[in-house]
Amino acid sequence: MDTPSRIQEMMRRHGYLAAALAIVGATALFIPFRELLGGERWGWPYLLVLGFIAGTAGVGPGVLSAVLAFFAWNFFFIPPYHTLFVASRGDVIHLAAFLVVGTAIGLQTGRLRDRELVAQREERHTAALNRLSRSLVSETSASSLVESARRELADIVRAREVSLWVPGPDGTPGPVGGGSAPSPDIIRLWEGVALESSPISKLVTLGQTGDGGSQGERTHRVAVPLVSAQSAEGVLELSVDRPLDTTQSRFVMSLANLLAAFLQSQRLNKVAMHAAAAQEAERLRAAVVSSVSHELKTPLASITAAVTDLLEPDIEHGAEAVREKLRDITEDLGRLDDAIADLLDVSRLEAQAWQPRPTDFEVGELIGSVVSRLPRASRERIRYAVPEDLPMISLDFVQLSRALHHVITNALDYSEGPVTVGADSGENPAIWVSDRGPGIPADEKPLVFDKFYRGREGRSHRSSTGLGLSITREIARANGCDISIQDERPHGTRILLTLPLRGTL
Amino acid sequence: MTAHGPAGGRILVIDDEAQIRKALRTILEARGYEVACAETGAEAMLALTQRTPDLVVLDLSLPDTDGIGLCEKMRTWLTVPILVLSVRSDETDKIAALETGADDYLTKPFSAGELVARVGALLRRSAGGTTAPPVLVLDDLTIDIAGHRVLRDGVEVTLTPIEFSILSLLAQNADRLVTWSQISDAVWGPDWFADVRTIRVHVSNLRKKIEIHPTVPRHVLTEPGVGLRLPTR
Repeated sequence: MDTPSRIQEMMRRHGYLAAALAIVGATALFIPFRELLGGERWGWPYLLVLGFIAGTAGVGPGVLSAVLAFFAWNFFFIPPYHTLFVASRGDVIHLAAFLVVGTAIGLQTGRLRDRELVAQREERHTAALNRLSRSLVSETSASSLVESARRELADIVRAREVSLWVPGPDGTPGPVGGGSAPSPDIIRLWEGVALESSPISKLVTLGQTGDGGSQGERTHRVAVPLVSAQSAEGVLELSVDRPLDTTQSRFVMSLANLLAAFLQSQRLNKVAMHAAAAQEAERLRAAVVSSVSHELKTPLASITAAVTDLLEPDIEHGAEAVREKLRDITEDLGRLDDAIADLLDVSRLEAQAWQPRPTDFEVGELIGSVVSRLPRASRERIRYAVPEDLPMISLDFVQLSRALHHVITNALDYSEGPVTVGADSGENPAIWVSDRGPGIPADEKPLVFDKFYRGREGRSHRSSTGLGLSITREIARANGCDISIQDERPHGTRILLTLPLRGTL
Repeated sequence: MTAHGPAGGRILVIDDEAQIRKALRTILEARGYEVACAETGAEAMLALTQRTPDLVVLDLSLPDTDGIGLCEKMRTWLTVPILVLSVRSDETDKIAALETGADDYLTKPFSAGELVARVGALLRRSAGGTTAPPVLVLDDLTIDIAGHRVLRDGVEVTLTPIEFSILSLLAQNADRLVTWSQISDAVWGPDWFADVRTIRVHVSNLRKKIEIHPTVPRHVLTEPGVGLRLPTR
């Protein structure tokens, strides 16, 4: 604060004392020059001082200084000095005129100054509310908004403490941004407004705290229910040193209305988000049910049919026919096992109950292990492009086997002819699987890793849960790998699993 | 599948699921093995004290005991092979069981053929390996253990003594899991401990000589975290 504004501040706070001191000081300053002006002209300098006092300290101190100046002038400057007796009749008129004019100046200038002060305050309140409404738009969390509100309230109404209480899931109010539980009178206030059908927002004085002895320790607690469009959103509580005046109350009310609007929009947003999440969960659940029922029930149905047929007492099956049926059953059982394994993997990954356990291995060992478990006919379609200088990697072998298994079987299912499994060394070590199938259309690329998505081209080829590539992506994520799709020339698809650098040794 | 006849032995099956016990009994008895069953860990301990079997099949998920704990307990005095049955989601349990003394594992669901192959391989090994085939032919690869020769596409491959020891150990235990410590014991002797990295270097060189794609092994497969396996199927 610079010196002039510090003087102004002092004048505003201790107006009457300052007025008295100013007149005493001015008098002391004028006395040495008493003979320079005629006694009756000393009224003018006094008017100057009095104008200054009224302009800075307001009406009361202005009038007080007019009266004090009247006596000081009379006592020290109107002969005979040091008495209130006035010798000249002309001086009596001067003095009387001074008292009238001085009081008028004190009143008028003081009033102007008070009006200016009110205007300044309103401007500050408006600016503060403006700032707050700006942060209403930019802030997303209630706690950071409370911080902004706390700053403004500390500045404008000199609030010592500001708390915002909003109802929790159980309906009882709790603090925003951490802190202790609300006091019983806040809970009573909240219960009062929460029950009302159309609650009204108004300032409530909760009483004083602190020992009544020293003036500085005492604080006044004030609360406002935050009410928006007929529903109660919370309670704003603040403690201040002095009871709020009308303008301050108006400011607090405006701020409370802003907070209420913010809380309401936040509450409505949350409701909308829950609804959207519930809808998405419902969609996924429906997809799970339809996929699961299809993928589990189809093989089960065909196994049941085959087995009951074999058990039929009236029909004599030939040994070769029995063998043929049993082979079909084994194939169906394999499908059933695959579907169950997929579902198990998905639920383990979703529940984060399948944490990666890294071991050291070579990329080729992983590929060899995955390919060795494929049926012979599939194995014969696999080509390799694995260079020799690959680094040893340290990731979860079992998880990556599952991931690579899905990528390879996917390539086998969605294409005919050879499928190449390769690896890249160097800066970006990667494992890739490339086929010469029709390729994945650009609009389908972002979808293939989604749960239950099955490519248009391959839908007719083979049944699957549609979970394979989503499992692959989750495993890749858990192991710090990156998965991407590239087009092959002239046609075909390459799925690339980029290994993390920290995973290589 | 032909019955093994009198070559069979006594097998103790420890599993709480009646269907699995029944299936294992049917499959194993059809191949000439004598099968005893136990439903719980306690029952299993009782059966083991009464008569020692030639092989134990242990399901890792038992109602009363922790399968790994049981495996460890049996290992303190039982020398016969233990074959562990696990489901796909207990990979860590499986590795823990192998570390505490199980000899091999099978993931449920398994085929009768797989079960019989594992049981046969384990019993052959515990019988001293005398019944191991002297010559093992795997597609393009011929391993003549007795003749100390390895042929790839009919052409003899020169292996170092360590490489041959590793390969013949795997061939004698074809289809069976061979752990890193078993390799260390069999190749370097019980007084020397060869660490996994050292063995890996030799395995990597061996693969370069015998595999069609030296970078993508088809014969000498890695079992994550535990060891190697030479599949015949």
